[in-house]
Amino acid sequence: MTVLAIAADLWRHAFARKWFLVLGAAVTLFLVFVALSLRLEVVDGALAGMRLFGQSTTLEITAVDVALRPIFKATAIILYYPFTLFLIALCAEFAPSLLQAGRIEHMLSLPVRRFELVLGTYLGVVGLSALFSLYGAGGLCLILGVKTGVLTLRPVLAALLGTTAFATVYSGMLAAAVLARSATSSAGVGMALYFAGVLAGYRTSLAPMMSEGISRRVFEAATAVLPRISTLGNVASDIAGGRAVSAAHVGGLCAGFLAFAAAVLAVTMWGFERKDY
Amino acid sequence: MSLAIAVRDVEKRYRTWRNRAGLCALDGVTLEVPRGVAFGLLGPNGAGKTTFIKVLLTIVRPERGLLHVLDGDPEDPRIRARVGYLPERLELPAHFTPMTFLASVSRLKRVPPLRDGLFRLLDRVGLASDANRKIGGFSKGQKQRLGLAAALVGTPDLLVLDEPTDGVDPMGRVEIRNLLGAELARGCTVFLNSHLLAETERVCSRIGIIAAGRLVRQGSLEELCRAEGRWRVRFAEGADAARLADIGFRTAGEEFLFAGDDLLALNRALDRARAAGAVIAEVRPDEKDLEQVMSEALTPAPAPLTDPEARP
Amino acid sequence: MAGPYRRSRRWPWLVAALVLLSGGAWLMSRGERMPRPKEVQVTFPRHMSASDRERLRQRRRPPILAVPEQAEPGAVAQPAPPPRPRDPLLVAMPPTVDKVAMVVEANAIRHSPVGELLLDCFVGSPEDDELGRLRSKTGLDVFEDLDRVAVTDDAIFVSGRFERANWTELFPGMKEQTPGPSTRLWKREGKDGESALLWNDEMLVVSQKEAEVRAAADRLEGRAPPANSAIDEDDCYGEIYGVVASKAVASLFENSSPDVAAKLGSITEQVKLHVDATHDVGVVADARGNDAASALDLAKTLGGALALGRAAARAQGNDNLATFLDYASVHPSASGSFRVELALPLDYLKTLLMDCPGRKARSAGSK
Repeated sequence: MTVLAIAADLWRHAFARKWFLVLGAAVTLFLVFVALSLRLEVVDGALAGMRLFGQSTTLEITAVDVALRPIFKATAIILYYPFTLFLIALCAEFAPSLLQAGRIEHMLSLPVRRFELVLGTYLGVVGLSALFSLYGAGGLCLILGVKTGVLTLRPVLAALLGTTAFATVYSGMLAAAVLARSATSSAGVGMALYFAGVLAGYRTSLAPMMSEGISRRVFEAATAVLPRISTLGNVASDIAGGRAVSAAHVGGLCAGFLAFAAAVLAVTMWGFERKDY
Repeated sequence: MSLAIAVRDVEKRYRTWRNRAGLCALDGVTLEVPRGVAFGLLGPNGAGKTTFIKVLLTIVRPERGLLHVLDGDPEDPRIRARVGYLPERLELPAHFTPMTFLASVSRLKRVPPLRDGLFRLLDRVGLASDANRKIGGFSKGQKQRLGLAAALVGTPDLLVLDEPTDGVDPMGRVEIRNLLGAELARGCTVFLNSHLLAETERVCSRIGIIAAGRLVRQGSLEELCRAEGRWRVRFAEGADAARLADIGFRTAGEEFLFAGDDLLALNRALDRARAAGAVIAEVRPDEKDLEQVMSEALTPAPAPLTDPEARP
Repeated sequence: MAGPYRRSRRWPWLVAALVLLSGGAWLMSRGERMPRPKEVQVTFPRHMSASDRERLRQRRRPPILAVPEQAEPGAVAQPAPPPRPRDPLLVAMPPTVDKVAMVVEANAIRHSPVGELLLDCFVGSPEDDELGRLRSKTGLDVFEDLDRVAVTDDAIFVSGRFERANWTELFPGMKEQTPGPSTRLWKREGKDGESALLWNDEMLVVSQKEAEVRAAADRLEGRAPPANSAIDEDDCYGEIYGVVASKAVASLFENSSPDVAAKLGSITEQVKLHVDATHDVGVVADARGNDAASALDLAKTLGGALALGRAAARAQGNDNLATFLDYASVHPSASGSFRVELALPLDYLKTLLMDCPGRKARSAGSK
């Protein structure tokens, strides 16, 4: 209950900020643009024509879901990569502002346990990212579903994988925020973890390029624990693009990501428990 | 006597990577605050006042000692729900309105955030007209008032206030004093940390003085301010100071001091003064103000605890 | 009074972190080992590539010109147009067809992934090597000597290297003739004119109609007036290419989509077909309609039919067909033509050919 109250407060903070309103407005504008300006002609389940602002656009005629795959795939990739980077920059300030002098003392004096504070902040930020991702992907699915009569939730699933990746990165950001109380450090750790995770996704291809010995061992050991951001990105893109993926594969990968996030949060708690404010 | 705060032998060191031994902020502090009283903690800058408050609320973790707040563990959320705290430098969310902020505090204190109740709180601290303004536009005094309102959420049994009138205008101070009086009247315990001695003197019935992390004085205001064996006498105009000095009255500004515990000796001296033509206007026991008490307590070496009511 | 203040124990957090980190690493390492679904690599043969152009250039031969007829006395001799080198196979093919004219680049397909698959499928065990027996008997190695196979309404054209072929074994009981300097003709007596023509040991033409074979010989040896081939040179790209009469294509849809069949028959005359087998198999069919509006209408109908077919296949649990139709699309253009593209993923072909004779024979042999 307290965790949810903290998360809800964080949302109130977020929605009182201009950046988040701009982001929400941008996503809404895009959806409104798609809803109002795009006319799709569907013949027997095939996308046979498209009109954008009344202008007819020549396109290949193919099954609606196949025709929409590139759009969904692009949406998934945008949500997974640039949007996650954008969120890293956008959310870097939350935890340090919560931990700033004069505020954290007040929070800790309330009937709130420290782990509830960490967990509430974490879930609040991750929930916020999920909200935007699902709003964008879900809205697009719904609009295109209404226009074509074919509803698919694949982009929504891909968006959820994007949220999983961000959730993992944000655990590191939160740890940096708690231990260093700096938005810059938080964003820096987030970016570093993100790009290291992208590299870790290619660790099996990259390791043989390194000369055998201690450096390769260190690389393999270091990347073994890191979240495979690019691997999950490929899975997200595959799902949105209509390709069959193994549920066990995706489930295992996501569970690994969440275990990493939970481990980082545990380290955060280890530091936070003894921290004086 | 039921205690709102009971602290014994609390020690706190601020350690760093370089200085593992750490800087001693609290050194064996033992303190008791009975329920329903206003307690003022005084001390110079860096004496450990704020650290003590933070230890009390487990915002800062002590090395060792006994901590008891409202007959319970201060880490227990149920106990903390009964404590209202106003930090020294309160940072408030600038994008919130006072109502949303108080509602947030209410939820965290597990108190239903009823609009009327929150509005009444704002009214009590003089912010009713600003209930729906963004906090970012508030003055320091207004933020302080809002912090006080937040501390009052849930009708706490213990109010811990760190410099509550900092930045508040004189009229506001009076209002806050009245508000604290009302809280005391309903049975709430007030623990006040203020550098304004006059304010502490007006609000608090019990005082503690902390210096270099150690509690050097603790007791009721009367006990601490009473000067042993000395009387203050005011004569009407025209009294012969030289004659009075011969009788034993030492000049202290416009008044005279008479040393001695013996009431007969005092009366004999007063008779002789009257016989010398002096007219007595007022006779009262001599009391120190808090400034003097602090000054004595802090110089030169810390004196041992002098609280006659201190529990073993 | 409660007991003395005790610092909360932090080490459980570290222990939990270590356990979670190890668990996470294990889960993720399992995840990264799982293979990604293979990307379908389709090249849709939409136009002639540089390699197709080079292949065509290498196949061109200078035409064999017929001896000019004696000019009328007093007539002014017209200068002959410069001879244009052409692909002999295209020259040999009839200029028009009613149903089909299709060229299969047999050698290219043989060395493509799909060729390997087909070979694996249709070539039996060593004990049951029909093709091997054919090679030893006739001297013709189907895998090595064949370059292209073309099919028209009434004849089959095979190009390649036939120097080693034993024609007596190949055409037993047939009578040999020499209609021209570079051709040999075999004809079966009294059996509907079944004939075969060999040109320069490079091309074999087989038909049930002797007239078709002789016409091919005339075209190859310059006795027939120059004419375009049923397949234009510019359309010689891909591993299979050619033209199919739209009525023939329409007949494929008569049962499943009569609407499509009717429109296809009435709007277009011919469908040009190109197949690429470089990786997975890409099929492109180009059709030109009588007018832009009806062509677009047909394109939409076709697209709808393909989408419906895919949905139906999916609903019936026919995942193979659904997967095949995943890559089906129709591309209309403003000029009144449209293009249908289909892809046959190799995996899909493998599934289709799971029970093919070669495999069966090998599995039986291994048992």
